[in-house]
Amino acid sequence: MALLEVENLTIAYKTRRETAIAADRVNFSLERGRSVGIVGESGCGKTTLGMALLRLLPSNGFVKKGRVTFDGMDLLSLPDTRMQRVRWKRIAMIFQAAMNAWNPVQRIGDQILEAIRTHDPKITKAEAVKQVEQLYELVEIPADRIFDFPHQYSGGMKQRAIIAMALACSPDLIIADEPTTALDVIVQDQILQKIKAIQKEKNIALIFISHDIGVVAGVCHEIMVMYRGKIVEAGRREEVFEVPVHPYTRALLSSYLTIDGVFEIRDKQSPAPPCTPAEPLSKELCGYVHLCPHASEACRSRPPQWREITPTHKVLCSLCR
Amino acid sequence: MPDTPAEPMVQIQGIKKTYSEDRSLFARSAQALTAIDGVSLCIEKGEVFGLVGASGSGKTTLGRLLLKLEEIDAGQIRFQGKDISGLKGAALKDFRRRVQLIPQDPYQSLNPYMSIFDTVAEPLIIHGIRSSEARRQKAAQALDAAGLSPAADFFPSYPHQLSGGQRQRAAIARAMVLSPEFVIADEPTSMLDATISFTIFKLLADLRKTQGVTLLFITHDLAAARFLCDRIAVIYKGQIVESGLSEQVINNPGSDYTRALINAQPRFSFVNQ
Ligand SMILES: Nc1ncnc2c1ncn2[C@@H]1O[C@H](COP(=O)(O)OP(=O)(O)OP(=O)(O)O)[C@@H](O)[C@H]1O
Ligand SMILES: Nc1ncnc2c1ncn2[C@@H]1O[C@H](COP(=O)(O)OP(=O)(O)OP(=O)(O)O)[C@@H](O)[C@H]1O
Ligand code: SF4
Ligand SMILES: [Mg+2]
Ligand SMILES: [Mg+2]
Repeated sequence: MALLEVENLTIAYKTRRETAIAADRVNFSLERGRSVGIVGESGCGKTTLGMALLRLLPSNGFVKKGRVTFDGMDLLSLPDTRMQRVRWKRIAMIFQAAMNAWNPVQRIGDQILEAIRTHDPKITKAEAVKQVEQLYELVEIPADRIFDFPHQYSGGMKQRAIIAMALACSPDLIIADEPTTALDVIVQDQILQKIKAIQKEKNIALIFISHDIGVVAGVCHEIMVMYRGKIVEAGRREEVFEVPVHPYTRALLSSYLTIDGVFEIRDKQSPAPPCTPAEPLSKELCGYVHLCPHASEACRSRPPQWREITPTHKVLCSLCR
Repeated sequence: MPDTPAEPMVQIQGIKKTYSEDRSLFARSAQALTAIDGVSLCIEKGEVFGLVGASGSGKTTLGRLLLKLEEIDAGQIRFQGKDISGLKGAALKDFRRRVQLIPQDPYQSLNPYMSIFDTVAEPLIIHGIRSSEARRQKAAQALDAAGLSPAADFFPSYPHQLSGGQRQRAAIARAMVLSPEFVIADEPTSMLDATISFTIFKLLADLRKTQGVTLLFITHDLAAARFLCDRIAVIYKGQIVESGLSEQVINNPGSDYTRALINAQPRFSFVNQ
């Protein structure tokens, strides 16, 4: 069994007017030491999915159905006290815009120490300090900066300190939500290299959330493309880049500006490789139908089905041969 | 020298901006921070000029100085030949109409309590367009031009009902509604996915073509700058380290810093192209 198994996970928000589904029947699994990237436009449900795995949804959000199994534990039915022990010690989350969440009037080192000691009350102060020093070495911040205030750090340093904090308890799984979005390309590149190296060295499983497919491609073994609450394409990184099938994935890639111009998809005209249909997922029509250049009558009358292109590459679209 | 050189849109001569004290409460020492350190630039009429640099290099500060939201400490900024330092009263108001900003974050820049119509029409009220019919018409034109059409469908919407890309289009419509001559776009797509950013870039290129607007495009993304800009300047720690035609700067970078920016761009080396 994989370290993490997500089955049919459906998440909704209740508002005054309606109950809106924000993530719809999401399925995936993740092995120890592997990384999966979730990409998609703003509002497609990426953060919602990450938060639900840790049971940290806002009060009007709830899991409608589905299962999350982590290391054999059924996370959604775990008692709160046990869930608390899983959080951060076994699954750490780097929240979107977390680097702006350091308490401005408390030294960063003290904030990390406090977190370590709350989760491990038996550890002595000296041991905890030692641990912070090692973490700082790992994320390459000089040890003499540990007890600076947040404003004395640059954005990149603040974000590296957040990564240090996430690593403090040697988690088995890290969920990183847009960990580099606010940073410039140079700092972003450094942090991505750092995350990748640490993930490999410590054999951590990683869920990496971003709206930037280029960033995800630099870090992750696997890619899941999300559109309006649904995963619409999932596969190994090379498969998704070399044979992107879903029209949204193709649009995402062919509008990606690289330094040499627009990214070019290799198989130019065939968005419909042979594939075997899998089970139909939903009763609703495809969410991309209003923008899709390949939308057909079939797309307007029947819900799309999951298609297997290879055993590791699948697509939710009616387009295959 | 040509006989009648066209007057540049913006000429910047040796400007400086120093923040004398640290904004924060707990600074170890109140040392001065020179955010813009002797910048000279010339932006021609009708061009898209890119200002590229890392976080904290001074891009937004330079934009704010050009918008006269802050005052320079030294040097001179000329807009269409006229020094902007002394602008007051009606002249300043006229300047505020002709120079506009497209902000970075459409999630924070739009007032959540204002409908899209009010958002786009507000600058018209400020600039004395009294007839409500005229306001409707201008707002509709601006929304259409920004790709939110039919405009009337978007009038009653509120920001939370729009997607990120639609919000940024509304912000662009608001910036364009007074037919400005010079627009500063400060990282207008850093929050948006590639498909949406791409359409926004195309929209900006289009507005330049159809409305002849001059654009200063601020970004840390050289790939985007190359796509959109005629010329770019690379800024590092408040100083311009290199400038020239976009292609030239990217293909033959003349500074280590530009090379570092180029090397940090995502590449898909694992794809066997
Ligand atoms: N507390 C909430 N109540 C109601 N709706 C919400 C709430 N939080 C999020 N949503 C909605 O759920 C959807 C998914 O939001 P989510 O934050 O997961 O998107 P995202 O993919 O992380 O986007 P971004 O890239 O902008 O961070 C959006 O339509 C959003 O408006
Ligand atoms: N009002 C201010 N008071 C003090 N320092 C300031 C002020 N505004 C900006 N600075 C400093 O000036 C420098 C340049 O900041 P600026 O916001 O122009 O950078 P930027 O290039 O726009 O960065 P980013 O890409 O992160 O937006 C930074 O070191 C910043 O901390
Ligand atoms: S199901 Fe049809 S409309 Fe949807 S993405 Fe596939 S081809 Fe396009
Ligand atoms: Mg999010
Ligand atoms: Mg800025």
